[in-house]
Amino acid sequence: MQELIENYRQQFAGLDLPVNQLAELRQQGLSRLGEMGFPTTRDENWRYTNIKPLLKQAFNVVTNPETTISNDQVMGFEIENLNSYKVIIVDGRLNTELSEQSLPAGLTLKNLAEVLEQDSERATTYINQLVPQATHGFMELNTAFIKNGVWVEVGENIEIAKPIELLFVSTGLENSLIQPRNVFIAAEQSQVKIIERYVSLSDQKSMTNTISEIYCAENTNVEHIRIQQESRATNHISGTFTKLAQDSHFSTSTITLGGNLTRNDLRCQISGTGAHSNMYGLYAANQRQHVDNFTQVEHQVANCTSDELYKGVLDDRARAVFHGRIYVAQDAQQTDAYQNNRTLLLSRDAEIDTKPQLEIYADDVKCSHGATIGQLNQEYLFYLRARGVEESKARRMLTFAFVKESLNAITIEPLKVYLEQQLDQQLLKGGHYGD
Amino acid sequence: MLSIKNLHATVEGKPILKGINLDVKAGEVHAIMGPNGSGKSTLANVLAGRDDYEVTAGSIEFMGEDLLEMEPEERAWAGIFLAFQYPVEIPGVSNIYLLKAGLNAIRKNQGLPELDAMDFLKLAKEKLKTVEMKEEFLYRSVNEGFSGGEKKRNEVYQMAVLEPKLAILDETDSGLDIDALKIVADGVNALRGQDRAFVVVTHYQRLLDYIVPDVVHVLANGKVIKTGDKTLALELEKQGYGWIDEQAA
Repeated sequence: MQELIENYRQQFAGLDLPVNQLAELRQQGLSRLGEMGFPTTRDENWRYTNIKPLLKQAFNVVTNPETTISNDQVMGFEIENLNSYKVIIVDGRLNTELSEQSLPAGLTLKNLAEVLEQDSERATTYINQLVPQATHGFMELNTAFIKNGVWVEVGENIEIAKPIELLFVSTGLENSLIQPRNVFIAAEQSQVKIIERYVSLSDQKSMTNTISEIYCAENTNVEHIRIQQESRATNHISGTFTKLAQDSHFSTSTITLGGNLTRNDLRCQISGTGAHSNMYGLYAANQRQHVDNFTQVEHQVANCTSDELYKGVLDDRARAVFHGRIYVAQDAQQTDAYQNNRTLLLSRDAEIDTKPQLEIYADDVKCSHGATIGQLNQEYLFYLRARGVEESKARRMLTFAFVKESLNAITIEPLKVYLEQQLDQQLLKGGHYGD
Repeated sequence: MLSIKNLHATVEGKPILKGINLDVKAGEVHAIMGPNGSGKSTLANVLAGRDDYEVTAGSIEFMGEDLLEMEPEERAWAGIFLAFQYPVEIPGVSNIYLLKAGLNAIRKNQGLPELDAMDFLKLAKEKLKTVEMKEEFLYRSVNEGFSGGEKKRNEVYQMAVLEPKLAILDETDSGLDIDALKIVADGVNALRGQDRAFVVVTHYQRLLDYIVPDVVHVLANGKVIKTGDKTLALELEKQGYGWIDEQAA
């Protein structure tokens, strides 16, 4: 592994990154990576996800993407009837020409590199503030190369009516490593919906390693939907880190359909009273796909609520991992936290490892968690068949109905319709959908 | 239309039906009454093809076909409908979606053209009137959050849309208040006709005041022990099932 890290160190040394306040942060990332290395299955948090295939050789970190893409290529990813502020990010860098030109007052949207140059002090007050130190090597690798990504800022009292759709297009240069670094800031009393979508243009083996930090100030309402639709040759590692201030309402949906190996870390810090967090997830995997959702919600103060539901369908030899940790600090009385993970296995060879965890230090709380793994309900199946629905179709109807429940937190109707279509297509790629 | 001969069936190895004989002709309404545990619901479920029940002897012929050879959906295609005693709630599958899939599968197998979304919606809305249900009902998940009465009405509604040849009502009256009972009965009566038959399974005579049967069978200990006209139901109401238990024993 040292050889691999040395390779990344050399790539780092070869870069001409501006010397500013971030230089130190990058350096720290690099040295921590050197100290801790990449995770192995001996790490408790990576026990069921073996990333060895990603460590065989170093990927080429793309810091100065040169590839251009056409508007037609972007149009291929269009979501029907979705009226959004479209932002196109190509290999990690925001492409202003392809992106929405007229933005409403109160919305700032920039390539991260621009913010770093113009106001690095402000950038450093937000960047890497929500990412716990030494979480895992990939995060450090992202930090070491911080440069591109999207900076979204919504001003006080501003309500952004249309969703902001961030389309991260990977052109899929062979063996490339794309590392977007995003910061989303919702100032007091603002409302915004952000769609973070990852797609790829080629089937070359590549990797995406991305981090988003989301700041929800007091009285905000933030809806966040992250959609993984990359090619099956892409490995995807992500970190989403959120901090909720008083009376803020945050809802996030993590949808994983594409990719080869996907690992999503999600961490929600609830640090202001009266805040609420929704954490929803959907995974539909087949063939040899692997999806690992590692989630944590931290109730640091009293009178907050959180609701977590992850649902998945696994077919063929697909594997999934769910880790859900609810942490309730001693002062976080009157917490109401709910967590559930439900997985449907369509094939004998599919596998789910689920690990719900409660860590509660307060004594006046309502917390529950549960996990179910199973097959289709036979009573439902008989009912549909008795109404004339053919068995295989009835099985599909029930499978689809089961998993789509985790799209319920999404309030953007055209997006929901689109995701249902994509989900159906994804399920059809499996060998036992309807068996 | 339906001919059951010497039907024996077990549940988890336990014999429940012990030689049922029953003939139902098109246009007839047959009531099946009997005490709890007599095998009424088992008979209804065996007809619909539930696989928890094992037929160990006997035969069922429906419209000249061997019913026992058919899958549950094939029975629906042939024209059999079971109104469930305990309709399940199916989250995420809307009523309209289920019915459209069901009806079109039935039509396809009967050699009729499938209905498109527009035509289906028109039909679905029209049939809502027969059970006095609102349109929003169509878009809700099957039975999810429905009251007991709404679930039973939904069964009758589905029957009205699917227009079966033989409808089996499994204790559709249980748990209904008198108003709901009348709605359910009106829905059934509206469908009565020369080409259609009904098997009405019930514990109480009450339903038969509204759905007047042509033939009444009394089932006890897995056998039909008495057959008569509608007056038999009234007799049962007066005397209870005690005398039957003695006779069956």
